[in-house]
Amino acid sequence: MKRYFLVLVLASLTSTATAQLHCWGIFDFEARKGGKDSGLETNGLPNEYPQLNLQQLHLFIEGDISPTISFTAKLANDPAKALDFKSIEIQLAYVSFSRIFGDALSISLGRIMTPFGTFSKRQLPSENPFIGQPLFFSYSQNISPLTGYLNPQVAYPSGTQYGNLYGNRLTTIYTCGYYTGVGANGYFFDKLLEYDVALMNAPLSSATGDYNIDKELAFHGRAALHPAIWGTLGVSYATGSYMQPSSYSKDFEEEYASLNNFKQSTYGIDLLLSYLYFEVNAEYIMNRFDAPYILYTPLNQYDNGYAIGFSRTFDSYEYLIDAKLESPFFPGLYLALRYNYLTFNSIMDPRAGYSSYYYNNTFPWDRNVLRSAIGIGYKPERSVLIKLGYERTAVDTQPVPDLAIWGCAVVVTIQ
Amino acid sequence: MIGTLEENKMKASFLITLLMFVGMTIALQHSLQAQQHDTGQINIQNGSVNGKIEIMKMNTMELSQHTVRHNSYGAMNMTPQTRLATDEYTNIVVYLEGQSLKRESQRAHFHSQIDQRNAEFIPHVLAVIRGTVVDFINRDNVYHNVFSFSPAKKFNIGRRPTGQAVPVVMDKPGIVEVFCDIHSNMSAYIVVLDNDYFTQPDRQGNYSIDRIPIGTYTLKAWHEHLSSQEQPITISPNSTTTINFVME
Repeated sequence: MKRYFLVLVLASLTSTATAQLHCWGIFDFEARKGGKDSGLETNGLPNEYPQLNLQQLHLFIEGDISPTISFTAKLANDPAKALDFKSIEIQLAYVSFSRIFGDALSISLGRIMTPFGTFSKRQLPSENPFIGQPLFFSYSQNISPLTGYLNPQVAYPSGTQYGNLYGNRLTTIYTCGYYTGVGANGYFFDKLLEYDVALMNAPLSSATGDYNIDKELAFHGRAALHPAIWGTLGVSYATGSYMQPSSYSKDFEEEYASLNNFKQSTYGIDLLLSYLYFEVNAEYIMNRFDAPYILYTPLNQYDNGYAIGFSRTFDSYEYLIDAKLESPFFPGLYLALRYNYLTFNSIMDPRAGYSSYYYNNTFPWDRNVLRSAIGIGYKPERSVLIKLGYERTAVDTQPVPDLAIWGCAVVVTIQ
Repeated sequence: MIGTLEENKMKASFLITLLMFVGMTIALQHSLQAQQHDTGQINIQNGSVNGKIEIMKMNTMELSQHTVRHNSYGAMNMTPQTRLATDEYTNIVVYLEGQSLKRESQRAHFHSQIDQRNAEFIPHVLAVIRGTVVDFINRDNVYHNVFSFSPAKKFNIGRRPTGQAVPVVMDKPGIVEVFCDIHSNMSAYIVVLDNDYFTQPDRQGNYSIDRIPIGTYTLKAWHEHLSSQEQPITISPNSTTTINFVME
């Protein structure tokens, strides 16, 4: 009865709104070459042989319903599935209510970008100085929403690099950063203080942001100070439960009462400095997964009673510095650099759960990753960008040629 | 002897009168040349042209809508002010083209100004004569990165603090499209012309260009989104010609 009542109330609130739509898009044609595993952090497309692909194909649809209400949608191919053009999806679709209380409050409803960190402020590829996504947004870590933590050294004693694991691995922040929810943002004190918060269907690491698979809503937010025109200092926080129901996780649920007790909590600090032709963006992200800790392998649905470990916290620390220098004498030309480092805390060997022999045995729960990149871009026209880039990856301080990528791209913005 | 003296006096008077006449003629000529130089006009006689421009109603609505759209996410939360359809008339430039009009003007080396205020360029369209210095001034408390890749003028002034005026010389005739790299919705047009016989209509579409030297020229009307219009025109002494345009 309550459900019918709710439907009636919602139906009574609906009305037809019309708006003239403005469409524009971004088309990114890339040529790549790299190591045989270099598709890992980008689109799953190995670059062992020269590749031509469309890394970015975005169509934006915008319309003003009224001077303060607007609609925005974006159709795109998912960069994580760039090989499959059947995966064109609606990544953004939201209605914005602007300036509800002047600068202090605007609200967005629908599928929106996470306000966490600076990712949402720099995701347009025409403004992205590099080829591909930043490392920590797409690098998969040894945490699964189905099984928690399963140490690959135990699961695969022969040593499996880059963490193959049962089920899906998780990123710190889902590659595309889109989630469904309601967001509010605004400014105070003559735009000295900015806030941007959202209640979302999923935590940062989840790609399934279009419905609430994790049983409870997640919080994403950022507050930023603009003390001077040349500088912005931001702090971010996000939290939510990430474990998903499965034949494995029902065991955890029995032990821990609810999967909601396993949280992802993420803290970030970002700094943006810019002046004249120079811009530098620095970001630090500390991410924590509360995860089940698997004792025995192989893990399968018949291993009830053995697969359950105990809860531990798994931390990762990520550092990013982007710098971009434009040419004052040659308009449209720029040079950009990136340094990106991802490191992990140490945990106890899971075998210590059944043998004291391993009790003092600790190790980082994933391999440290350092990625550095350089890019040169030139805009012959406002809507055309030509980029050349090279990216080098080191794992546990050792350069891995198989992960290196170089490539060039032509990005066209269609207005 | 007496007769000779009288004759000499007459000759002297004639010579003095002749010299005075020549002197006055030269002085008058100099005066006229100086006057011509001061006024910057080739011909003393001139005429004018005026008229009214009409934008087709459907286009007016589209133009209004086109300029209203909000910033995309990622941009600063500044909602540009809605531009009224009638404002589009002020974004039209009406100007004369003709070989005899190509010359330096006193309006050259003037300073004009484009402000960046509330994430908009103000004015949106600016007409200047070649050689004009356009000062770009950021009136917002956030950065704007003003640049142009137009063949008529390529420049990038970078990120400039609030209140700082950055001069850019418009030294070639043509259309200079100006954008902000930080706020993708911001745009402005600078129409750089070879002579100073141009104007921008009022909000009702009325325009007028005065003190045009007599001759035959081409009258043109330009708008960023509409098809340009042009019409031959002959300026007669002390006459006013009326030419109306309908822009689609």
